[in-house]
Amino acid sequence: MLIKLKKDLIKEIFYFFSAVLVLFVLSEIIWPNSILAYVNLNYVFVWWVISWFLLL
Amino acid sequence: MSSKRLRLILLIFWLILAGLIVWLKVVPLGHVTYIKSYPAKFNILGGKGFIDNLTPVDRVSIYPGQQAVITGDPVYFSVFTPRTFSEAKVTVTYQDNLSIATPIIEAGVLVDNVIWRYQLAPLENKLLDTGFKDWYKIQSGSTLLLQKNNNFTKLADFLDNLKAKPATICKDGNLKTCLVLYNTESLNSYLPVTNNLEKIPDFKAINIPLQGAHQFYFLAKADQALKFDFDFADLNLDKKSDPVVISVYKGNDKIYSTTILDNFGGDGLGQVRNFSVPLVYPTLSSSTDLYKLEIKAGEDIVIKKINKAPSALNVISKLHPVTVTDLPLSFWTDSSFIKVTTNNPASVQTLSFGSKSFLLTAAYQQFEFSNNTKGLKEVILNHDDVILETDGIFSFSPTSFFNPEFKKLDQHFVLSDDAQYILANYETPKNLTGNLKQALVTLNTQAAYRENGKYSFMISVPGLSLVKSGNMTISEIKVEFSGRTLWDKIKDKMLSYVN
Repeated sequence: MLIKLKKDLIKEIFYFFSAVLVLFVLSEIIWPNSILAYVNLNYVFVWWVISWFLLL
Repeated sequence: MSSKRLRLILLIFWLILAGLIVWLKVVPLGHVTYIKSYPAKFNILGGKGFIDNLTPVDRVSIYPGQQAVITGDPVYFSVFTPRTFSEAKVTVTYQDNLSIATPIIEAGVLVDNVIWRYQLAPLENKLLDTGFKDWYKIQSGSTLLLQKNNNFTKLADFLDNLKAKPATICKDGNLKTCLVLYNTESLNSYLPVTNNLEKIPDFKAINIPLQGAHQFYFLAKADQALKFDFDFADLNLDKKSDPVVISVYKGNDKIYSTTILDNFGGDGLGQVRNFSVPLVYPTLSSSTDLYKLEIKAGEDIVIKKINKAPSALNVISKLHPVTVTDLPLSFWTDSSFIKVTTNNPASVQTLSFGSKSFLLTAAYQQFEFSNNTKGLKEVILNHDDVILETDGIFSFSPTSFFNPEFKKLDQHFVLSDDAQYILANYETPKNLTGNLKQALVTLNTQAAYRENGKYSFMISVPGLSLVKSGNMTISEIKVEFSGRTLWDKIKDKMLSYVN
């Protein structure tokens, strides 16, 4: 039960990072430099990969 | 925590992020501030920031954990903005290790990318701060008046007299010798045009080919049509299109402008295309007036010949004669210095400036030659393809020379007995702790050139690379942009629909 809940929470976090990555990449394509000026996208990508690994 | 609650929280956070991105892109309040610190502050998000590093690297040293050290003039930085703004306030925090030979520090924004013109304003002018201690000083806002004798107690009185009765301000009535200016573009409405000419010098055809953009002063009689006739050549050495923009200014107002498009395109094969441009502008002036002619073009364009103009043309600031058959070349100037550059190794030469000989020993390097002899001085070039620059005028003959400009308080200024007043738009920088100073310049970015969302700025210490005298260290550059708010834009849109 607890493991399932933990898995669900990680899944939500993975979805969140996926959505954030999509949002940032699309924003950067539409308005160049609007994201990279504030955030290094590599950091977001690393968090997304970590959440994906935890999900496996 | 249930996964549904977490999903809701993350969804709200994602929406906030999306809203924040739109907010930062639109800048709805019309104000935004960007800061670049040296040494760089730790940035947890790892963003690359908005202000790029100072360049070029051979004039500025940037090492981790240290301040940026400027050792050459000028240096540049660009600022990315998510939208356009109408004003930029640039605050520079710096330490000044400069010698007396480099008393001026200026900052500015690029306004014309064809002739690389920057709108500059002073960060510091040590001549104004410490050079006139015995003079009477009146500061009102950013306007500064220094007087040798205490003739005016209020700045407004001086400006009113300058506008209404300029001849009464100086004892001999000659404003050009008794009034010295610095950064007074905002006070232009008070300044009379001082051409002091009894006779308008006649025009003689200019057969010296001039490469790239050039500006000229000329005079025209009342009701005289402004007639010009130019012969151009497009060298087609690069692949860019080469339009020529010809503009005529009266004072600060552009009264005429035309663009000659490059209909043949830029083929980049070196096939020269010659074309002539006759122009007529019927002036409505009721008196003899001073005008400025601007020919704006890239380096592919050569003004081969000027066949017709209302009066003699005198070149403003910069002259680039090329492919001249009749050497040596002679020009006249009343400036105390010339800056000389050539990009052609065959043009390295010994040149003469006011009967003194100077050596132009290398290409791709700027040389500055001074001659403090008063009056008109002849510049003799033995080879063409040399870029001559000064702070005043170059004339093609001594008889046609006239200089309508006031004296400027720059690093070349020499105080004469005639000077009675110094008028400037200037504020002394603030002194901070640890020998740091902080100065602010306000720049109009409405007409500034913006490429790929970036404005290009410059910090200039005139003469720094030439005299190799000290350096300037930068601790922080802060740029505060302001412009129309989102509400202003919506209002304008609504009004345009109503009208």
